[in-house]
Parts: sequence; structure tokens; C-alpha cells
Amino acid sequence: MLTLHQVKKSYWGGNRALDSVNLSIGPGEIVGLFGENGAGKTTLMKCILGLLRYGGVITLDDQPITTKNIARLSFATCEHSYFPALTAASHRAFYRDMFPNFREKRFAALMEFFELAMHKPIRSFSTGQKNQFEVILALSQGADYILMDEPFAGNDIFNREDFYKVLLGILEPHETILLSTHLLEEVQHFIGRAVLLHKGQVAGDITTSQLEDEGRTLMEFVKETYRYQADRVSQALDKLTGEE
Amino acid sequence: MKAYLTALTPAARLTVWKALGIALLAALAEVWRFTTSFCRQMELQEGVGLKDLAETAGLYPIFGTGLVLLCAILVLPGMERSARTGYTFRRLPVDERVVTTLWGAQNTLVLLFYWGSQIAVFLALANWYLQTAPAELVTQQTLVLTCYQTPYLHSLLPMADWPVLVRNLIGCAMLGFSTAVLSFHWRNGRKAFSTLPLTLVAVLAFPVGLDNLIPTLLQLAVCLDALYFTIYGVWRWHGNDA
Repeated sequence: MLTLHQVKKSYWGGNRALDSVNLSIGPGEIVGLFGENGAGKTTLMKCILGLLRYGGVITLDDQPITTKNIARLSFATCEHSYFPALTAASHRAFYRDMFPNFREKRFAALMEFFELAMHKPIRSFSTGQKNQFEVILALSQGADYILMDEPFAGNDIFNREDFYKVLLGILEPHETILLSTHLLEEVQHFIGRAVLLHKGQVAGDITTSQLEDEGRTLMEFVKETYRYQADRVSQALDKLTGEE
Repeated sequence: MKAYLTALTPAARLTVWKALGIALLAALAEVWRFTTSFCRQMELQEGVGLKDLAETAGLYPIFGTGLVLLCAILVLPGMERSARTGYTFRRLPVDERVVTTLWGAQNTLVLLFYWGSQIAVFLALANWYLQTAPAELVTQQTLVLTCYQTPYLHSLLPMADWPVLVRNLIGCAMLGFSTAVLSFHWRNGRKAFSTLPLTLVAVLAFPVGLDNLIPTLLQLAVCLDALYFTIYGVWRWHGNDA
């Protein structure tokens, strides 16, 4: 169980990115993390991984996250965290030596599925291929908790669809995904739970089965939670055209 | 320990071949400059001593350029240019500060190799000169005297001048750790530029003539201070801060 208790994070200038976030994510969950730009999604993930200093407590099975258990977490980020000058084969060797639970078969299968070159430096890949490789590494590390921050930014729709399908097919029951994305409608059938962040706070937390029981879509839930004003655009346009 | 050694492999893969390439290029440049300078002097029927030939051939500028390039090569693998490799380093089941320290030791070995390769190239060139040059220009003392009389060659091959030898060893460690630590700070969001001035000072201050004990000891003190503060700069950051 990944548990966040009263997690706070402020940046320089007092800008509060996370404000008393409480969240528990259990084994096997596929959680979508949603929120507007600046809501704190990326910050939340970086705090979990210890990439940023924070207030509050984050534990993994009641243990603080240190070098002893950090390998149970993996991270795929749109900023990319691979070594650009190394080849996929070199990454495989590095991950195999570094992470005892490295999933060699999964790595090979995903590399083949996405038709990525094993012996070319990753920097020579296209943006979409780089994203794919980043996600492949995160999925193959052998981690129990796989954190993904906008992993498909720059990939086309067919590519993303393929990935969701493959992901659902390969995940084992104990593997947990925390996926931050703006692509709500695309991932709604793939996730089991949606967590909404707003101005650094958890504004909503619901399972997709709850949504189904209530007869609501994920988009409706998000709009309700954020009190989305549907007539906002028409009002703004009326104002603008009225000025002219 | 295996995990720590594995953590060094990306840097090793990205630097060792390039370092060998720089050492080879520097060697080729020196051989070419040395032999062409010698042949030109012979064509002009002007005798040239080993000391003058070493200066005419520009061995020191080639060595210095190679050292600057080598330091750049050692810094680059740890820098975050098109990807945040720091995210990977900090997710490894190892302490990044230990990895950085080992990385510094690895870079020191690369620099020592470069120094050694430069000595080997010079000795090979000197040997070729001693066999090729007219007999009136060569004595049994030619090599030793040249090394004593030329500040650059004296520093390259200090022989019994222990302070210079120790200064060179500490200087290699200073640059090796500086290159590893610079990228550590950049990966952790702290801007650092210490390697550039340290490299330039190391190159410019490298030639030291015989009987220059005080300047040598001063340089040694600077190298030790820089080495201490470079390593301290890594270890003063706690695990969560790093």
C-alpha cells in the first residue's frame, strides 16, 4: 500500500503545489490522476519518488521510501529519464543488473511490439518512440508501483490505443499504476479509479465502478467536481463580440 | 557493491572509448608535429635539440587541449541535456553520493591514463629522436637533461621530483572528482561551474620547472583544497536533499 499522509509541498515564493494531500493506493489498482495544469500532479509523483523535498509522510507498506525499497517504484515521465546516448540493449543490461526483478521477457516483447531498435542510441528515436521506450523501461523494471506522468505526450491516438490494450494485457494482479494524464476520455475504460487534484488538494476520488453505479461518465464527474461552467466560453465570446 | 559498480556503467560506456579516442588523437597529433618539425629542421640542415624540438612541435598545447576535451567528455554523461537522467539515478537502490564518489574515482583513473599515455608518447618520440638525430646532438644525458630543462616535460615526467609527482596525482583526482561532482549538482538542480576554471588553471599551471618547490607546494595546496571542498560538496547533502 502506497500511503500519503498530509503531504505538503511549497515552491519558492510560497507557491503551494500540494496542500495536505491524503491518499492511499493499494496493490493492483489502476489509478488515473487528473487535474488542470499546475494542479500538482507531477509534484505529487516527484514527492512519492523522493525527487522533491516535502512535508508530511509517504510510506510504502508502512515503510518510508528509501534506497532500500525505492526499486519497488518505477517512473515514466514525459521529461524522459533514460540515458539518451545509450542503446536499448545497454539500458536492458543496466536495468537487469540494477533491478533484480527486471522483466526481461516483457522488455523484449514490448520492444518487438513497438518495433524499436535495440542497438541505436535512444536519442536517435522519434519523440513517440522515446515515449514508448520510457514506458517500456518503467513497465519492465519489475516495480510494484508504476508511476506515469503524461507518458504519451507526443504519441498519436493509434499508438496510445495500442498501448492501453497492451498494458491491460500484460499487467499482473499485484502491479499498480498511477497514471497522470489530461486524456480523460481515452483512459476512462482503462482505469479503475480516478483521483482529481485541484490547486494542490484532492478534490475528488472515485472508482469507475462507483461511477457506473451512479450512471455518470468520468468527464461528468470531473466537470461536477471542478464546477465547470459550460456557458463560460459563450459568455466570453459574447463579451468579446459585444465590445466590437 | 555490485549495484554501485553497475551504476557507473552508463558513465563508463559513454566516456572510456571517447577518452581513448582523445588520447589517441593527441598522440597522433604529437607524433605528426614532432616528426614533421624534426624532418623540416633536417632538410634545412639545422640541428635541433630534443628540448627545442619538443617546444617547436607544440607538445604542451596539444596536451592541454586534450586535457580540456577530456574533462568535457567526463562531465557530459552526467549532465541532463535531453533527458532527466537524475530521475533514474535517484530511483536506483544505491546512494547517489556514493555513486558520485566512485564516479570521481573512475574519472581520476581516466585522467591518470591520459597522463600515462602522454608520458608513453613522449618517451617513444624521444627514443625515436635519440636513434635518428645526428650523433653530435645526442648524448646519454639528452633525455634526462631535456626533462629537467623544459618545464612542461619536467611536469609530465617529474622523475625524482616528488612534490610535482604528488601535485600531478592530486591534480588528476581534483579534476576527476570535479567532473563527476559538477554533473551531480546539475542533476540535483544546483548550478555549478567549478570544473571549467579548475581545468583551465590545471592546464596553465601544469608546466613547473626544476627547483620550484614553493610554487609546486602552493599548487598542491590549491589542488588539495579544491578536492576536499568538491567531495565535501557532495556529502554535505543529506540523502533526501540530494
